Amino acid sequence: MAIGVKFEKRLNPSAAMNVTVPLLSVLAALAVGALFLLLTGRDPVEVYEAMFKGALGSSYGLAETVVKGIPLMLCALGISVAFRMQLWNIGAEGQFYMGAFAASWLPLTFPDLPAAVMLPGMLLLGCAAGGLWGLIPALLRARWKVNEIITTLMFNYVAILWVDYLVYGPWKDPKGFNFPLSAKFPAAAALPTFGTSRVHVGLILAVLLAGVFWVVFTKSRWGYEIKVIGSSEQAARYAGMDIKGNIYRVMLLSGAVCGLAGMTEVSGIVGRLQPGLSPGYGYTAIIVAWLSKLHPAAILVVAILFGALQVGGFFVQTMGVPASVSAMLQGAVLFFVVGGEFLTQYRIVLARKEAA
Amino acid sequence: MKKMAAGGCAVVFITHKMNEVQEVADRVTVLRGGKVSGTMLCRDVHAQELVWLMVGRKVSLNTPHLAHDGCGDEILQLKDVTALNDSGRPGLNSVSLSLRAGQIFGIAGVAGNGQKELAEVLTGLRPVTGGSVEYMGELVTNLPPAELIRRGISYVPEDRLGMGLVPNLDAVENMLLKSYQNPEFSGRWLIDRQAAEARTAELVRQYNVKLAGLNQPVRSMSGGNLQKLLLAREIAGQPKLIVVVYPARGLDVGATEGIHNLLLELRDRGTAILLVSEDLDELMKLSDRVGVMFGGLMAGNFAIEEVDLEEVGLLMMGLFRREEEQIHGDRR
Repeated sequence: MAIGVKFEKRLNPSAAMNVTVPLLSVLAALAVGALFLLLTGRDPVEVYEAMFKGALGSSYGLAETVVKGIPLMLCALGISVAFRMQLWNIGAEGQFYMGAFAASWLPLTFPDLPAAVMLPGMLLLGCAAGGLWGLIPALLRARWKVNEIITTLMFNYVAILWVDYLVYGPWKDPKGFNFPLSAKFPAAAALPTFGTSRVHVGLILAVLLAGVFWVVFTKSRWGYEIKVIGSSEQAARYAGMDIKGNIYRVMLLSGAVCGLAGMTEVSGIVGRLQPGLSPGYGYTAIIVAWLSKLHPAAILVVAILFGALQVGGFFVQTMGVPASVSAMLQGAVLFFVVGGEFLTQYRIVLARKEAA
Repeated sequence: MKKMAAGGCAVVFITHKMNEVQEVADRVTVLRGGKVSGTMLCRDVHAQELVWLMVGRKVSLNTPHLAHDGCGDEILQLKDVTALNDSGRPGLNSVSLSLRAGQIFGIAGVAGNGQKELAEVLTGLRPVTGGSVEYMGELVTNLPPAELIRRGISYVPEDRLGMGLVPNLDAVENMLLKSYQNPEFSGRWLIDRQAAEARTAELVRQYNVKLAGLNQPVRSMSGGNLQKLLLAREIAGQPKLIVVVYPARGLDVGATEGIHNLLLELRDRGTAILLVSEDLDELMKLSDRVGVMFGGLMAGNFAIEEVDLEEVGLLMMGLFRREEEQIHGDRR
């Protein structure tokens, strides 16, 4: 006789666990991070305190946190559309870059357009490019069952290298001392900001989108289709739903919102096209979306928290702690969330089992 | 296999093909409903004896009822319909049948002989590669599922949880599965959850479905209640034709009885019903005509009062080729 561990599926995962498990995951991640900090001879409490103060303790830090939060919100919202249909769009990063690229094309080619044309134009181009970048993996998936996880992921590298090519080559600013940067956008291509901060109206777009998504996901016919297809493709087919069409629509929208994130970033923050636009927003957004259980309102909050994590990581550099501490914490959070997810779905049963 | 046996190996061979049994086996055991219904030496048995053991009786105990006479217009006509199965081989082989309003057409056969393909062809889920399907006097071959649903073809699939119902969704959302676009439950964009909830509550009452709550995922419901909910939804669409596959599989006696009564009521209201079942008792009790499927063929097609269970049993085992003459002689 031996003691065996068995996993039993829970019939009804409790609602309380849906909240407590993510919270516990974050705490567990912080604990793991503390362990590493201790091992490198630093006081974790001190480091965490500095991160917290840096990110949320001053109006500058707070604004920077929101600035980092906006692309995370938009990318996570985009990702959540696809994830709701169990389409694993890992390509937010690439769609972000393609959105940034297409949005940059307008001010670089027609620098004299007025803002009233420039900004909507950039927005449309950014969304279209991101959407199309998401649509290609969707076509491959719908037509030939090519796994979208692989294609969207690989498309990230293509998009990033494409932007690199442009700024190292044809779009390099002739007056830029050979730096890999495009020319600076005209003032008309800059998104309005709040006061003197760097927080731009992308924040309003994200909040509006979250509201629209909430209605779409929970009240609309289309949201219902997405839910059914995501839950059981067989049942969706049986009900006469258009699965291929929905794969196209969902990936188009998902990519478009990530493209929008790229557009707001070049227009609202950077003011030009350059390499390394995103410190991995598209990947962090996956964690944000997952931690939020794909709920639009939760995404807004969690994106801010992850923005704070990034800004906090930046601040503790002055203490000699590498900024990658925030990347490590992010990784640990995802790890515990996915593990915790398992525990909400299954219960661990210890049982005696017959020795073989 | 014979070599292995000759080499001293004990071989257990499980099949439903009679000629294989006679070819390779030394001793044969017949299982029916999870019980051994007979064991004998192979050289001593006659194929028909085996069939009796499988069917469970020597002569039919329940005298076949008369086909009820409420049949109306022809609803469905299949002519030489051919389709492929999931592995791309012929799954339906030139199947023809005709079904009238208020008639139950039972399909007998061992699972995997084309029943699933037949059901899916009728509901638009599987492409027809040859022949034609006519429904209500119109050619509907290879129309998409949504169009066939709209025209009044309902389907209670074999896989009730996963295809017929979505385990993670609640009862209301499952009720909406085929009607979420009806003006009754939704506008141009948004679904009217309240109307859907009211309708679901009504169906749950009417069909006496027991569930934890309208807002609970249906995966925790019992098989019988799932089947009732599924049937309730499919009937609520007021179908002209309903395809019902293994409706009582895994249900207890009471639930089975309830499902059967629902089907008979539906028939009396003039719905054409195609009933696929492995249970001959069920087929004999409900059907007005019985067809037998074997290897993708419609191996037999009888009015209920002409059904000879022994012959049905033989056909199910694929013995019609050998004894073609006899069967042809018997056909009326």
